[in-house]
Amino acid sequence: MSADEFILQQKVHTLYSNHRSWLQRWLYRKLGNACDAADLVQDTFISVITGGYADDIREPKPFLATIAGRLVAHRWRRNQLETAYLEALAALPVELMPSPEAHVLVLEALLEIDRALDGLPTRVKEAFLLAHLEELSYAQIAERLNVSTSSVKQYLTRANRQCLFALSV
Amino acid sequence: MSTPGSTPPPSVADQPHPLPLANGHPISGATADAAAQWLTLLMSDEMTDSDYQCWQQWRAAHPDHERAWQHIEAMTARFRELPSTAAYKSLSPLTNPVSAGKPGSPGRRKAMGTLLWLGTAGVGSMLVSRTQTWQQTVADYRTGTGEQRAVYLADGTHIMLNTYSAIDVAFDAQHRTIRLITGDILITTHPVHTPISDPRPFIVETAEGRIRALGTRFTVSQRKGRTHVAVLEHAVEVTPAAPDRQYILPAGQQLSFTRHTLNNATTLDKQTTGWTQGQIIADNIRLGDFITDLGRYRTGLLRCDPAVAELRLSGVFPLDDTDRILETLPSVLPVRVRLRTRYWVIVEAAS
Repeated sequence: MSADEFILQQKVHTLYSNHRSWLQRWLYRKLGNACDAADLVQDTFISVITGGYADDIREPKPFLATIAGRLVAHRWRRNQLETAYLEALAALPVELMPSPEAHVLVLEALLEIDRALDGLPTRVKEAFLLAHLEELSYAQIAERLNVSTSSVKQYLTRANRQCLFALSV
Repeated sequence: MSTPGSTPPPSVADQPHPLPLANGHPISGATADAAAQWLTLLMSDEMTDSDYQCWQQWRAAHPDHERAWQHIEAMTARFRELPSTAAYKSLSPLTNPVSAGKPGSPGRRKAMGTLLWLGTAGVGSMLVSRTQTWQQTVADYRTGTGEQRAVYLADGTHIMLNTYSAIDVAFDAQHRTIRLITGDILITTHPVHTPISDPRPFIVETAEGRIRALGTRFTVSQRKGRTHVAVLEHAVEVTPAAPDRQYILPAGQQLSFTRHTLNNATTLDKQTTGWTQGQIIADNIRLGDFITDLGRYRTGLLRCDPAVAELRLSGVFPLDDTDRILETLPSVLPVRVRLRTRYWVIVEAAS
């Protein structure tokens, strides 16, 4: 181990010792579950290390709270999507049900699409999902959203631009 | 006080317009805008032939255009691997009106693109990659999609170009060199060491190496990262770029090679040279491979659903009418052919 690596490891160690307990309490208040809170404490410090931020944090409390807050939001949305997905699956005939192994993969994909669409207006998102997933024609989408087909095209171009270039293989 | 590291890392949404990435390459915002617009048009049922030509020209005009398009295709192909209605219902803001005022709201976070798609080994884009579109456009001789063309050179050599193929011809005092940029060619030269033969060596260059004609009739195909050679008469000498090893490939044999590796020669089969007769010849091949091959002859997108890609198919299919080939598929396999739009065709399981 080089001297730099040693110093960095000491810094992470100090950060962890000094801030673990309040962060865990803070997360527990948000999540209401000690196990999830403990998980996210770990995830927060992993983010700090993998993000290369450990070296130069001047104000650790707001810094850690921001990262942990993002992780909470992420987990919350993930649970919400999973619930919606399971409900949608329950309506499917058995033969169209994806395998349990596929479940995790689909969920990850949904989560990524959801993030890629984040910030777009409701109708823009809806037009994109109807066109790409439900494969409706522009006329059908226009009717559902009660807008003109030229609006549908504008919505789609905007969503195609944001979503498809936010995704990666 | 805002020294680096003293504040939390910005989320992507806060950053000043990072360049969009197409398969990892940064491209301009204008290129991404244009690609998004083309997709909107292609998915509509309003695309005309002249739109189609413009789309092809746009893709050919700059390597980044093609890159952006390939990215869009790869991403939309992923959507097809999802259980569509369940995915729609989960993601739709109208069926799940949740976005406002929720606890721990993600706010204006935008996609960070850091989560990997854990997609199964997807078939992905079924279109043949056209990374060399730019060179294709400026080449000496080329063919468009679905086109075949005969070229006669000054030395009496006859070259047939298959669909979407391009060559440069460089003849000088010492050599006759054909550079194959993309696609397939069938070359017929005069035999060497005869009174009418040209004394200059006849060479085909590809991205992976060179093929020297020792005889008269052979095909060369440029694929992504790979060259395929098949000899119908006499022989050729094959030299991959990197290991400087040579191999004499005789008539009735074929082989493929990369820059570093020369694969073992195998017996020439009719499937390889079917195109020289204007046919796709299939002998128990995967439907997925067949559709990929057929897609090279058709304008627009032709995709095979992964659920039926492993079905096997045999037959001789004339290339002059690819619509007909698609129409016959449901009579020989449990598939249906869905025209999403005129330029967007999907082969999937018959329901």
